[in-house]
Amino acid sequence: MRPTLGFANTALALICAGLISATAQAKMVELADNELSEVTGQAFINLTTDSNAGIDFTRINFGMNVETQLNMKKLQLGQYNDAVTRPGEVAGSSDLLINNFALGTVNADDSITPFKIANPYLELAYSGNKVVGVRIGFGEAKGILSGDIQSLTGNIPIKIQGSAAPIFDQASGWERFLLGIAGVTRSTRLQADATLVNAGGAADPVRAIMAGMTNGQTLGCVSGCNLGGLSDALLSLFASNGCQVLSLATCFPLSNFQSLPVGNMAINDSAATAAIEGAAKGFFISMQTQDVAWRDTDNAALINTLKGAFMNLPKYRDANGNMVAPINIDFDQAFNGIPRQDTCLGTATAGC
Amino acid sequence: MISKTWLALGALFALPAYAELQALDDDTLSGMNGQGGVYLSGEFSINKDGGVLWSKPASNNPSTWTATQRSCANAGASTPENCGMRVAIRSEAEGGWYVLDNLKGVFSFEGLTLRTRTINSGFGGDGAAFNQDVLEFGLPNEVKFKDGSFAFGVANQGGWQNKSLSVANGGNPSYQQTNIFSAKIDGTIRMQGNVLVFPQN
Amino acid sequence: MRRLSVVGAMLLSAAAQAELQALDDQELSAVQGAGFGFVLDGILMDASGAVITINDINNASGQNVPIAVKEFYLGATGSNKGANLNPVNIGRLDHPFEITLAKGESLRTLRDDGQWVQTTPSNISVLEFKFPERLTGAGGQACISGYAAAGSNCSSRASERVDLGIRFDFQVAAGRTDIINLDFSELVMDGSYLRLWGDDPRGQLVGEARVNIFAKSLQLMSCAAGTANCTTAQEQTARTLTLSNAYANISLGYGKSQPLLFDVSSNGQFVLELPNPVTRAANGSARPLAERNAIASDFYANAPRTNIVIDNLKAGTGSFSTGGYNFGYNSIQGLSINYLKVTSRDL
Repeated sequence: MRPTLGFANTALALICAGLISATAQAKMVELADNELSEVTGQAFINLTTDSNAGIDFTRINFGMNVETQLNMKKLQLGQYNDAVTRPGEVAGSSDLLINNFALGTVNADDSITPFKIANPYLELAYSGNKVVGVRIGFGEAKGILSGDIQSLTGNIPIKIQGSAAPIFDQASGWERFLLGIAGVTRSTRLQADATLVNAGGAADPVRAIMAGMTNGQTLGCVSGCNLGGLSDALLSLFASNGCQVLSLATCFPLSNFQSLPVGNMAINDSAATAAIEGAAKGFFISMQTQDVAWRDTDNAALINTLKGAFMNLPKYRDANGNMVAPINIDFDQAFNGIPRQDTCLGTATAGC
Repeated sequence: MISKTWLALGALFALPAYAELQALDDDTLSGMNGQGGVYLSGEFSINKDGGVLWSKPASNNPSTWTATQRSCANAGASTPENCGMRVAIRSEAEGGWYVLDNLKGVFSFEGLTLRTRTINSGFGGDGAAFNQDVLEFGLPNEVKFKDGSFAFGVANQGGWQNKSLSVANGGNPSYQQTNIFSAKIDGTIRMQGNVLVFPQN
Repeated sequence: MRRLSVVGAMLLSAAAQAELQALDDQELSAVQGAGFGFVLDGILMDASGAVITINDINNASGQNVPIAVKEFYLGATGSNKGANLNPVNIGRLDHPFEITLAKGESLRTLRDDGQWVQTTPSNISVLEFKFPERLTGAGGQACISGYAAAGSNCSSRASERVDLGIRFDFQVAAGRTDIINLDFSELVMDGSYLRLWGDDPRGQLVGEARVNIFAKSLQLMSCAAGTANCTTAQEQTARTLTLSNAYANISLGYGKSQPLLFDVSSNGQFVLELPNPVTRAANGSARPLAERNAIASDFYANAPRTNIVIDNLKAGTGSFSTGGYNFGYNSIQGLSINYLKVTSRDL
């Protein structure tokens, strides 16, 4: 026994000595930048910083692709009454309240059309060493967002674009005559920009319950206007005022829009690319203690958000470089609302 | 002297061959009480100076390593580092691997106790209803770590392979490991208390 | 010596002749679940003397951003953010932490309405790691003291609630360190569990998990006490986000029709998946309508849902005129996931 122990000791000593001498001979070599990234395993989280107007930002980016179809009985952010920050709002209302919120839809055979999200991130805004805002955002988002929207605070531009036929259906005889004079027929394609408004037609990004044309907005001609440029000029005489163009309603309750398409559903997503084709970019929900200008991750512009809870679903640059609104509906959907798509498996369609 | 030792040892070995073990009946067994306990102190190190699979290379650039070299230093470090133990688990047929990588360091503790204890009182009233024996592990007052580290990630192969080397040179360009996070621990963690363990049906 | 070796040889040869045979189903069903429970008695942990660094989170140029973990403590409630640590008991003798191997049909989960339902499939063995289980009925404790909406079916009493704190320092850029200092007060995690079992048709390990976190308050301070602008109580309050009466019941997976799948793909990325419960049957055929409706109604009735509620979220003093903000009540309620697939990729 003693001789074996002695041998083991010697062997161990030799091995250790060998290792130590090996390390003593290793030279330290500085790594070039392009070699650094190959050293350890790849990571799916990284951290980036930014700075603007005295506010420092720290963002944690997650390299993830998410496909989901989910239902929530209630999504509620910012339910508070405060005469200083929210003067004149209904008591008990929230900055953001959506009942029966759902992402994605269920088809008739119970297969799923998911809501797709790429590159989510979490960002903190600091003023000195004080956190003044936090936001959760998605680099890309595409799919159907459903819900009974009770109130929304944020920046959500909507593009209403389509044939003028639904307008003719809603218009009185005199209004049809006026439209005819402006060169607009049933097959003319018109467009209008809508945003969150109050019942009086003023833009109201805080706890809005309606979306529509703000005072002074006009209908524009896309195609099929018989008088060309003159049509636009004539249409501009009929600006929206107090949520009406002539007698046509131009503001609609958000609760009418029970399923909203986010991004461009007409473009198919290619499985070969990590990017989601046709996705809306720059979607985030944030909470801040003061007005904060967050950086748009897509085009590096600054988005101004208001104090409180805020949802930003902005215009984004599409594949052709045009700025497009994230939600596009036609005039029929604007007047009559958008019915809710099936978001539940089995027999239910909502509220599951 | 030596022969006496061998005799004594031989006697010890021979003894069981003569004495027959008989089972104690339950009554006798239940009358026995455990006593005393165990007080443990220890130090153990895992791959403190590197392991057996990979030797430490001269630089942190994977393309300069040979087939048996690997450095586990962080991204951006200028000096290479020895690698710790690696455990890989596959939970799916033909799937990828969960990897606990670079597990190394020196871990020491003093005062881990182990004994049995009968609980039939205390614990806010629960003890009386419980009335059972438990195994009590007394936590050490201090646990010291020195250069402890580990990394948790996922990979498409169980064993690590060098992505920057060609297959001919002993690497595998299609090897992919995503580290989820890694941690280094150094210093003393103070703790106190006991863990009571008992069977549950 | 010779006799010993003879005995040894006999033992060895006896073992060599015994063959392992699979138990048939009838014998298996006689196997009862078993495991062990454990209770932490008089626990206190203080890691302020250790330096813990989390690595592998890189910045945009691929360099490591080390995250230093400091002020990690665990102790009894009333520790005043770790200044005054006392030992605490976690888990009760009749509701301990548990590691058990049990049959799927004997496990139960507490539904939101207080009923215990079976969520794991029958006829399989499930490995379960469990925090102290919930307690319905007369002995149930309020999960958050003074806040009834969080439920009264926790088993941990006031003396079994903990204070937990941890501080992360992110060295994000040269000269800039972001600090996140978390302090939980009256934290309890009753009813959390992780269940794992093997799924034959899928050929992999699948599971079901629930994480319940109840806290009377969670404070997030963005500066380190004692540093510039962070010394007086007023300065520290101005830099603190306070979540009061906050709880999260996070449910991932419903064993019977939607187990949680965590895979590593063949290109080394992780995939977390909650499959569609009414997806195709094990043999690949589409299910008939009646069967799909039955699975869907069982799923919506019995699968636990995720709720995250913050009764009051306050920044600083809570008053806008003094630089704070009171965000009031925030919640996500009744979240049920029909389908989820999260795939990681390199950045």
